[in-house]
Amino acid sequence: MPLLDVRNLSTVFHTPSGDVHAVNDVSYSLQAGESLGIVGESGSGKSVGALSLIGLVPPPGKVEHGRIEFQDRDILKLQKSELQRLRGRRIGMVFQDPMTSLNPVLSVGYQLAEALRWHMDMNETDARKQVIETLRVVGIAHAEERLLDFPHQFSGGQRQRIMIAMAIICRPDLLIADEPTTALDVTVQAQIVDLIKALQQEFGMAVIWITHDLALVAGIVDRVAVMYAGSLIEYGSVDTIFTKAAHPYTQCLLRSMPGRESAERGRLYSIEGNPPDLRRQTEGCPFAPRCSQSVELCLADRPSLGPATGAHCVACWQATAQ
Amino acid sequence: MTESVSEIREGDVRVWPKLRRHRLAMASLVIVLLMTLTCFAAPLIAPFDFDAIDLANIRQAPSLAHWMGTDDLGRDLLTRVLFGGRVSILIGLLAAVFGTAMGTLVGALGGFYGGRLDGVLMRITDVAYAIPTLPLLIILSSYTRATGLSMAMIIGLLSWMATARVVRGEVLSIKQMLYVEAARGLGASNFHIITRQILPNALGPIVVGATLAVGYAIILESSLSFLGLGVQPPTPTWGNLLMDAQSTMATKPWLTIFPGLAILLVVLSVNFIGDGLQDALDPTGRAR
Repeated sequence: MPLLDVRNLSTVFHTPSGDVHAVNDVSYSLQAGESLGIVGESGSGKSVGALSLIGLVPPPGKVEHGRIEFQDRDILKLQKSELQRLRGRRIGMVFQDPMTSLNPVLSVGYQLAEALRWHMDMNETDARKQVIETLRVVGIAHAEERLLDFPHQFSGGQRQRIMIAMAIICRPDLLIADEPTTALDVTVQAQIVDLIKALQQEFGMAVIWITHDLALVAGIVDRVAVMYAGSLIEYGSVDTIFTKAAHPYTQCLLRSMPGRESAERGRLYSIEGNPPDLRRQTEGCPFAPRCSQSVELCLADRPSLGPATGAHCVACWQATAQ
Repeated sequence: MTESVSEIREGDVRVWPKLRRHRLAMASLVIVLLMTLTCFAAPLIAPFDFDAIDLANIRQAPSLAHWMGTDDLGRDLLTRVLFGGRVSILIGLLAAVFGTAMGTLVGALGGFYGGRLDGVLMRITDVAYAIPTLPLLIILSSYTRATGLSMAMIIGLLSWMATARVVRGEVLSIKQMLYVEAARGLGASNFHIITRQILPNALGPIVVGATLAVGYAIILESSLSFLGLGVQPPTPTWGNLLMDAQSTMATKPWLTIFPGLAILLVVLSVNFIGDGLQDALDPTGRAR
């Protein structure tokens, strides 16, 4: 039984200018302790998909249909209070921008202890111990003396460590990291990545990495899901995706990574055209208009995510035909 | 150890130690407390009776016998200012607290929940703004007996709207902040988000509004008294001392200056206290 099983998830934003289909019929599953990278460009629905998992899609967005089973419970059917008990306790979330993710007027010790108070029913002495312990785990030096410090007294990297501490303080079973390194510089990025990886091993958490950075997920996840225009277009183990990418979009993404090829050509590869308007639901494959290999069928009919080989799935007529 | 434990629980909104270092705020606090004390001790320390008419000494300028001069009936102004402060300070502070609490509640609920609740609350605010004060006061005055508390509540009812609008605007912008979403992601309840995450960050404008409300309440009280809802003459309040002195401002300025000064002092002090409070609550402003 998987820890998390997402089936046909669709999230729609009902805006005055039309319905935006941010997440479209997405399915995947995750075993306990496993890590999954969800990769895609901005606006491909990766963040909204993650927020859907914990019932935090901002209005006017709404999960239209689908099923999200987490630890054998359907998240979409939970009461509000049950959801609150789940968030932070069973599912932790780390957000993109550490500079604004901490409340400026509350001390970090207080903010960290909150979740313990809500979920673990801890007395203040134990909560304090746990806060210090968790801060130490995420690598904040002199944690004991820094409990009463405020967010502005920490650097960006430290703040992201604190955010991670907040997310894991109740030892969740699943950690969702929504581009946790985007706002940080490269050396700090590497530290944060290593930290989350180490924590995953230490606590046996499952981790969902949401990122636009293929190179980042390469070394740290078990499996990769590639999203484009709200749909999952390819899904497989990290090795398969990097060596045997079947979807033309994934292939393009891999080619756009800075590497030997771009060094020889002197410039980075980029994909022609723009992502589609998510308000318009097309008949065919969402990538077809930009795809160099598209044929008539691609524009007429949308391919579903089917097996290419074994656990490697791809939503492309060409790839499945081969 | 025990101390740090409790500090962590209180979210170490450790306001008091920081407020104590804010000199202006502390001086203001002392002034307000002193004024309140002296006013409430007026029956003991005032040199005359507040309604003792002395027709031999009418309209006297300040002198050693009458530090603030005398009015048209020869009553000692210092005595009247002291007695007036009992009503004015009480009503000023109480009404400001009441109006600010109400405005904050309405604004926070509207801004946070949005949608229909926001629509209803804001329309109520608009209507409350649009109702002219005087007719409303006349109606209210026929239904209520004047006590300090009821007057403070009525004044609060007349002055919460500006705060409500400002707070709503603040809440609208703060609730978009990532830390609010992060708190949700940790399993925070709406109550926690409003009281712990949002309102502390909206405190600046709330405090400013409360400060202004104190002065407004002191003045409004005199209108209430004028309409027969408030304190009846000859019992003085700062508001009706000012009103009475309006016509003679040019010839007998002391009748205006002293009550005016008293109001100014309280309003200004409250303002500085608010200022200090704001600084104390802002963790980045530690240097001051």
